[in-house]
Amino acid sequence: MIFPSGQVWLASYPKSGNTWMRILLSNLLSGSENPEDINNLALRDGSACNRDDFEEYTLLDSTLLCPHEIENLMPLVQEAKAADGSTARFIKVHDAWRYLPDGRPMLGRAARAALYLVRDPRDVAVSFAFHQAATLDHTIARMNSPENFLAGGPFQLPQRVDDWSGHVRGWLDQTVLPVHLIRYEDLRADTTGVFRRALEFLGAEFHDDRAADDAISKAVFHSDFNELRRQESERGFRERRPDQAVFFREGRSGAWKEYLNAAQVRLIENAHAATMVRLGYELAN
Amino acid sequence: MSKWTFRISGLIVNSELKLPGVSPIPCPINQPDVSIRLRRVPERLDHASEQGPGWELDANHFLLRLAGIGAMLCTRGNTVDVDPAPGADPDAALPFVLGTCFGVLLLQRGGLVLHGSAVADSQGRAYVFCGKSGMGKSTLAAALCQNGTRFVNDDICAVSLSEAGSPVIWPDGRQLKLLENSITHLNLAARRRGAVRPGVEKCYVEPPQSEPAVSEGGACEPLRLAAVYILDNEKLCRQIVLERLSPLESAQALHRQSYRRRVSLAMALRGSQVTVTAALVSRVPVFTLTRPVGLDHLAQTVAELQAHWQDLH
Repeated sequence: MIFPSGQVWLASYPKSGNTWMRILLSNLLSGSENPEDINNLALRDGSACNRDDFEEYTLLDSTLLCPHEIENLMPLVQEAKAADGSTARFIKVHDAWRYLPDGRPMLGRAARAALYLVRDPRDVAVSFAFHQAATLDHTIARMNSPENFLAGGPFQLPQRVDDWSGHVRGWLDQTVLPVHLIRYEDLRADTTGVFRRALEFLGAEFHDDRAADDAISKAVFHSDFNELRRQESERGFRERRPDQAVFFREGRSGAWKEYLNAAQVRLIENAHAATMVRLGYELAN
Repeated sequence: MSKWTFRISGLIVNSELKLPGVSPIPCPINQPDVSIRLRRVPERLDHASEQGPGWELDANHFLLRLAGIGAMLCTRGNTVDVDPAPGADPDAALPFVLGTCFGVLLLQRGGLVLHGSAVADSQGRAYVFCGKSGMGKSTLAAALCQNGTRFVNDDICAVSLSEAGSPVIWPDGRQLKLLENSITHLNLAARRRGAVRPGVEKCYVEPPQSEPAVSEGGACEPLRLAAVYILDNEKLCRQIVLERLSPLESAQALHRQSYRRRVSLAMALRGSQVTVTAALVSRVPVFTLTRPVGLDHLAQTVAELQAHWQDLH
């Protein structure tokens, strides 16, 4: 199986299936008879917010820079990273698609395509709250705020993620690069079919149809949620936050009905109704 | 005209700007190793062989340009010319002069420059802790200096060879740079000396104990390098693990831990970088030091390292 060379963004709001997509791709690329180790994926292409990468390319200590200085350098860093390899690369990104005051896209123009994963914001709220060990009300307020950002840390730069609708609109409506939309719910319901269409969008080439069927089914089987939970319960998962019980918690669609009260559902739907309807998420109110 | 003289990483530095986080030495010297000057610098380098976001490099020059701050030009390991952006305070460039520019200047002078912080024990044996940003190099050095060792340098560590061919490093005469959570964890608030830059969290901190950059006579003594540790954090790791690397692994690790690796690689065949690396891997043990994430295991790391040094000698 061959991918065209160049950088692809794996873009999503947090808790919308990005990690799962990386595991699917990693299992596909490894082609191994055994599931990929979730703590040691063959797909090592990293994330847009990697602090070490930023410092490697700019030669600067990022902790000495103000947020606007980091953002000002970011398009150049992302373009240098994209130009710095001849193979296919998949880079995780939670940042909103934004433009700097001088008109440059903050993530640069050099990636060849993006897979954009989206999930029902009501389920995102539940999953995000568990992930951050925060209350649902606090999490919903963040998802409704255009100022929402992920704080970063010793190894990650801060990331501006915008409110949920702004994130969706930014990525789907930009015209800099082709983007393929994947709904998390569809990926759960028909993993093989949805993953296959994503691979077609990315221009993946297989020896023949049978090779494609075999490789995709194996990758899907090795990335099954039960397999991920099994690995996490046995050996842990390094992307789990210290205050989070487990990373691969439920992963199911529609769990919000059990966790959100009517007021919380209204808060999300009032803020995001237009975008939810656009994406086919049925409103409760 | 130079107003201040400093001793940084064994080099005599004359500067037209007062450098933060480093103490001037009282005896001005007319023939410095390095001069930091206020000068106009070119917009671009005519024959750049390497470039990246905001920087260019040719055989003799390194040009760094920062929006709103200014441009800095390092030439032949001897001068750093600072050209402030219109309306900008010249001092705004100094954190980058002392960081990136000084590191590149040391690379231009040849030798191996590690991205690491160092301490020395009471016998004058030096230990360097390398690792990428956020790995806790400075914090570990500060913690060790609260427990009987002396601070040697922070973040940039130039290794050279003594006359006898032993790898040595030089006290850099500077202060530590620490983030607030480390300052709080180590109870170092009384030693905080102000932010490294206005608006950033990182502060200069007077080290609890430090190796003097200059003796009373103005001389500067190098310290024999006794071990190099490559720091790694591992979320799934519950204990501190020390592993010695083979000479080949050591050489590869030292390359990965070199300061501003892209510039270091471009200069690898110039000067004595290869010779110093070869001497280091044959004479000095290199270890990986893997720790659980966070500051909770810091005291245990200090204790384990001190026990490790007893075993080393």
